Amino acid sequence: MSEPNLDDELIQDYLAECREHLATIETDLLTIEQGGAEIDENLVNRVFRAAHSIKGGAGFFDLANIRELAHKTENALDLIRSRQMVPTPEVVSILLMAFDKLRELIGDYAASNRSDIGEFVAALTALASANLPASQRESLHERVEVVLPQADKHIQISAFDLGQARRGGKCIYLIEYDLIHDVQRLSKSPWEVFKGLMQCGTILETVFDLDSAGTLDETTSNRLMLEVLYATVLEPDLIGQVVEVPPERVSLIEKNGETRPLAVPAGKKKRRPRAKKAVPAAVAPVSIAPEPATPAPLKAPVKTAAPVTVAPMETTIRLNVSLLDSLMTLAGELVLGRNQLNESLSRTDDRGIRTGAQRVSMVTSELQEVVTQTRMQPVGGLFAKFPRLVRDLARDLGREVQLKLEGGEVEIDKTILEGLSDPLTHMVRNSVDHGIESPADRVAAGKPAAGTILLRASHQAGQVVVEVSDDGKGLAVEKIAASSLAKGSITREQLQAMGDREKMALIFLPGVSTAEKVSDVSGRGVGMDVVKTNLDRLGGKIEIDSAPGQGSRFRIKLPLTLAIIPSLLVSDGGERFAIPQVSVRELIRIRHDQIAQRTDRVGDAQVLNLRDRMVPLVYLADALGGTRTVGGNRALNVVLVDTGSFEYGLVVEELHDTVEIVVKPLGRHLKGIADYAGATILGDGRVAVILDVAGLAARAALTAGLPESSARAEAAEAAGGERHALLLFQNAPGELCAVPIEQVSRVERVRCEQIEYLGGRRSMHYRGSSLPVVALHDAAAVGELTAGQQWVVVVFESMGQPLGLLAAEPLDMVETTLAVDTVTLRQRGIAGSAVHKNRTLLLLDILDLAAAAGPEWQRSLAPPARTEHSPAEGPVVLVADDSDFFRGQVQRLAEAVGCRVLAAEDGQAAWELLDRHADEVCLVATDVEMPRLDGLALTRQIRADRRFAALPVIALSSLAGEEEIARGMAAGVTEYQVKFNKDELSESIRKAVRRGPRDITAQGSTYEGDSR
Amino acid sequence: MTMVTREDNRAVVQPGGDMIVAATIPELRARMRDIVDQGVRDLTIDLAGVRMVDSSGIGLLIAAYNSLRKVGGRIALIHASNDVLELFRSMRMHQHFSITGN
Repeated sequence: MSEPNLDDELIQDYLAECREHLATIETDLLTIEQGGAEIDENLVNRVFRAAHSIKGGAGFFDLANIRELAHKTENALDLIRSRQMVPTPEVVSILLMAFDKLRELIGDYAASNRSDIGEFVAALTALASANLPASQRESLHERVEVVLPQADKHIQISAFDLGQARRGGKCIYLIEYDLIHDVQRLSKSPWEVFKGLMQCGTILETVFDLDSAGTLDETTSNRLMLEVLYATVLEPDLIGQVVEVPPERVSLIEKNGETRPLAVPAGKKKRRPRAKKAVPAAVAPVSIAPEPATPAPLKAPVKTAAPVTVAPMETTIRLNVSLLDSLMTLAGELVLGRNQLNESLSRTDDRGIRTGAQRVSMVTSELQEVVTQTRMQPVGGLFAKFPRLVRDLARDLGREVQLKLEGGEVEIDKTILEGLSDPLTHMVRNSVDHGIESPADRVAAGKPAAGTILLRASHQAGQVVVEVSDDGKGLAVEKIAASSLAKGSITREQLQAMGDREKMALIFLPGVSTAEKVSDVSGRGVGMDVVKTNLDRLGGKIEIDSAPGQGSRFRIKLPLTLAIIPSLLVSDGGERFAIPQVSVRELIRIRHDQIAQRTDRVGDAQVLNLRDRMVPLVYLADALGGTRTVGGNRALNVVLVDTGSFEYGLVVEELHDTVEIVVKPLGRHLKGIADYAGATILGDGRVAVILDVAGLAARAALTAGLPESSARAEAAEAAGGERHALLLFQNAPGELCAVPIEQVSRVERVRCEQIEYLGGRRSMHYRGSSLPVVALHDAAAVGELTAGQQWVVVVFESMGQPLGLLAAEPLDMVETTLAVDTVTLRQRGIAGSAVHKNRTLLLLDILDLAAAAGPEWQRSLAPPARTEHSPAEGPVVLVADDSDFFRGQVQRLAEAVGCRVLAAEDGQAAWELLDRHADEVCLVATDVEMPRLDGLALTRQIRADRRFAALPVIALSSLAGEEEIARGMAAGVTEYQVKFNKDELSESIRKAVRRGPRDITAQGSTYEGDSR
Repeated sequence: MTMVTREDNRAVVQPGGDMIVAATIPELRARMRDIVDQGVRDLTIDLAGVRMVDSSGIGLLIAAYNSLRKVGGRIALIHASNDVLELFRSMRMHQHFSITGN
C-alpha cells in the first residue's frame, strides 16, 4: 500500500469536514434509535451522506481504512433508510462504535492505514447480511463478473456495490477504451477523458489490459486497452456525448448482469468511425444514438420502460414517511369533519354545522400545506453541490473562482428542481471553464484575480428565476456565429440579419462551440443544446446577457407550476387581481384633494410626483379595457410596481391583503395574453388572475418597459433594413422626435428657469461653462415646448464643441428598423420622418440645427454647411450608401469637418462619379451592402485601377464580424467601421483628408493647389 | 534528457522535460530497456516535474511494468503530480505498482 498522499491544505479541509460530520452523527444516531422502526428519513439521510462524504474524501486521499469503514457504515445506513433493517439499539451501537473508530482514525489519519479495523468491518458486514433478504444477502460477498462481449477479459465487482450504483435510475456501462486510438488520436489526454467521465457519473472499476501494452523490448504498441465500468444517469442515447468511443464498444449492463452493446460491430456499420475521423474534435458528434434505420439494439431491450427521452427524469418522488403519515392523519380528520357536518345537517343543528365547517376548513388548509410540501423543495439543496464542483474545476483549470449562492431558500417544484440540476451544472461548468479567465489574464484586464460566479434563485413576476452570472470575459459572439456558420446551422444571410443577442442564442444550436481549445470540461460543442432541450421540457426559458470583458449572465425562467408566491390582492371593477409581491415596491394612497398637486400630465400620460421622481401612472381599468371607477372625489390607490427595468404606478380601485397564493398556469387559450402571468384560486373559491406588470406596461404603451423579447421580435421582423438606435423625446406636446443615440453624449433634466436667454441666444450652465442651447423651433416650423412639460437638454458633443437641444420627457430609447422618409416632412433641422409604432417620428439633423441656431458659432467649428456649392473649397469625399438617411448623415459629417461631398446611392454610381472626378476625390466612404455594385466590389474595382491605388477607402457596415472585416480587408479597404460611430468616422475622415492630398500629389495630381 | 541513477540492481529514472508523451517516449523506452537488460530489478521512476502523461506514456509505463514482471522485478512511481496521481488511481494502476505523490 502506498503512503497516504498528504496534500496538506486539502487534507486539512477534509479533516475539518469529517469532524463536522462526526460531531452531529452521534446525536442523530441516538435520535434514530429512539424512533425505532418509525424512521425519520431526513435524519438517516443526513448520517448516510456524512458517511458517504467521509468515504469519498478518504478515497481521494488514499486513506484506505477510513474509506473501507465509512463504506461499511454507509451500507448499514442504507439498509436502515430503505427499511430493510430496523435501527435497534444493537444496530445503533455497532454504528456508534464504528463512527468512534472512524473518529479515532481521522484523528491520527497518517497512521490510519496501519490501524486494524477488521473487527468493525466484520460486525457491520454481519449486521448487513443478517438484515438483508436472503436473496440479497449473498450480494455482499458475491462478486459479479461483467464479461465483455468481444474479449475474454472481465471486471469483478461486488454485486452489492453494483446494486448501489444502480440506484437513482443510473445506468451501468462497460466502456472499452483504446487509449491510443480513442484518446491520443483525438489529441486528448487520458486525464481529460477521465475527468469528463467523472463529471457525469462514477467510475466503478477500471481494468487495464496490461498485455496490450507489450514490453520495453517491443516497439511502441499501437493499442492500449482499458475497460471502464461506469455508472451514470445518462441514458444510452446520450452516453455518446460523454464517451467518445465507437458505440459498439460501449455496452449497457442489464440488471441481470448481461451486457448489451449499444451498436452492432458489424462490418457494414462503417459509417460511425468514419464520421468520427472526418469531424475535428472541436465539433465532435452530438450524439451517437443509432439512427432510426438501426434502432434494434436500443429499442428492443428487456427494460420495457426504456425512455427515448433527452434526459433522465424521475417519475417517482421520494417522500418523507412522516409526511405521508401526517397526510393520513389529516385525511382521517377530514372524514371526521364530514361526518360531523352530515350529522349536524340532518339535525339542523346550527352550532354543530358551524363547528363542523370550522373543523373542515382547518383541516383543509393544513392538508393543502402538507400536500404542497410534498412537491416543493428548496433550491438550496441543488445549489449545495456547486461549491465543491466549482472548487474542483477551478483547481483543475487553474482559475480562481469565488462562488456566491443566493436565494437557496426559494422553493421549486421537485420535478423542476431535478430537471434543473443538469442544465445548471453544465452552465456553471461553462462559466468556470470559459467564462472566468486565468488569474493572470484577469489581473492584466484590471480585474481582481479571483472571478466571481453568482448563482441566484428568486421569484420574479411569479416565475422562478435562476441566474448564473460571472464576471469573466463574456461570450465570444463572433466566434459563436462563425462556428454556427461553419457547422452549416445557419446561412450567411440569416447571420447577417442577426443582432448580437440572436447570435448569442446560436450557442443553443447543436454542435456550436466557442472554446478555442477543446478541454475535458467543455468545448466539445455538446451541452448548451442539451441545456436548452432540458429547459424546454420543463417549460423554462433561457436568456443570455453578455458584455465582452465584463461577463455573462444566463437567466433561466421557470414556469409557475405550483410555485407559491406571496402576492398583493387588489381589485378593480369588481374583479380581484393578484400582483406578485416581488414586483411591488410600495403602496401609495393619494387623497382626493392632493391628486392635482401630486400628479402631472406629461404629453398624454399622467405621472405621479414621487419624492422628486416622475413615475408614469397606468390605470388598471384602462389597461384591461374596462371603465375607470376611480377619480371623481375618491382617493387614488397606487401600487408602485417594478418591471425589472423600470417602475410605474398602477392605479387600482381597492387594495387588499397580501396573501400566499398557489400559482396555476393559465389555460392554453389564454396563454398568449401578456397581461396575465397566471391565475390562482382565492379563499372564497373565486379565481383571481395574476397580473404581469411588464405585460401591462407594454399594453399601456410604456415602451421603455417593453420586454426585450418583443423588441427583438420586432427587430427580427424587420430584418433586412438598416437598424437604428434612436433616442426618442418630445418637442411640443405630441411631437415625437428622435436622434441617433450615438450622437447623444448626455441628457440633463432641467427646469425652464435654468435656461438663460441672453442676446437672442439660449444657454445654460453645464459642467462649469456655458452650453449653447438650441430649440427645434428655432430652425423648423414646429411647436414650442410648454412650461408644463418636464424639460430636458440633450447634449451633443460629437461636433467638437458641446451643443444642447431643448426637449421634453418622456424619453425613450428604441432600436428599430425604420423606413426613413426624407421628403414629406423634410425641412431645416429635420432630416426626415419615420413611422414607429403607429406614430410619426421626426428625425432631427443636429448639424443643421446648430447652423440654424448660431451661424457664427457653427462656422467656428466647421466650414459652412453648404460647401457643396463652392466646389473650389475643401477636399472631396465620395460617399456611397443606399440608405438616404445614412448617406445624409455621412455627408453632413464629412461637411462638418470641411470636406466637399459627392454622394452616390450605390457602388455603380459611386464608381462612375469617382471615374469622372478621379483627380479630386481623396477619400471614399462606402456602405458594404448596396444594390448593383456592393461596397467590397467597388473597393476591388478601385484597387484594380492604378489611379486609385493609394486612395483611402472606409467601409461602413452594420455587419462587423471578424469575417466581414477580414473580407473587407481582403478587398482592400483601408478601414472597416461599424455603422455608425460619429466620432470615429469624423476622426477617420479628418485623418484621411489630411493625408489624402499628399498621396494624390505623389501620383501627380494637381489637387493640392485646389485645396489650400 | 533522461537521468538514470544506479546502485546495484536498483535504479532511479528521471525523465527529462515536463511531459511523458509520444515524442519523448522512444528515448525513455530505450534507456529503461537498457537498464533492465543490465540487471536492474527495482526500478523507480521519479515523476517530479512531470506535468502530463499521455496515452503513449501510460503505455510505456505499463510496458516497463510488464518487462519487469517477466524478470521478477518491480516498479515504483514517485513524486507524481496531483493530476497524474489521480489519473493513475482512477485507472486503478496503483493496484499494479506503487505510486506516490509529491
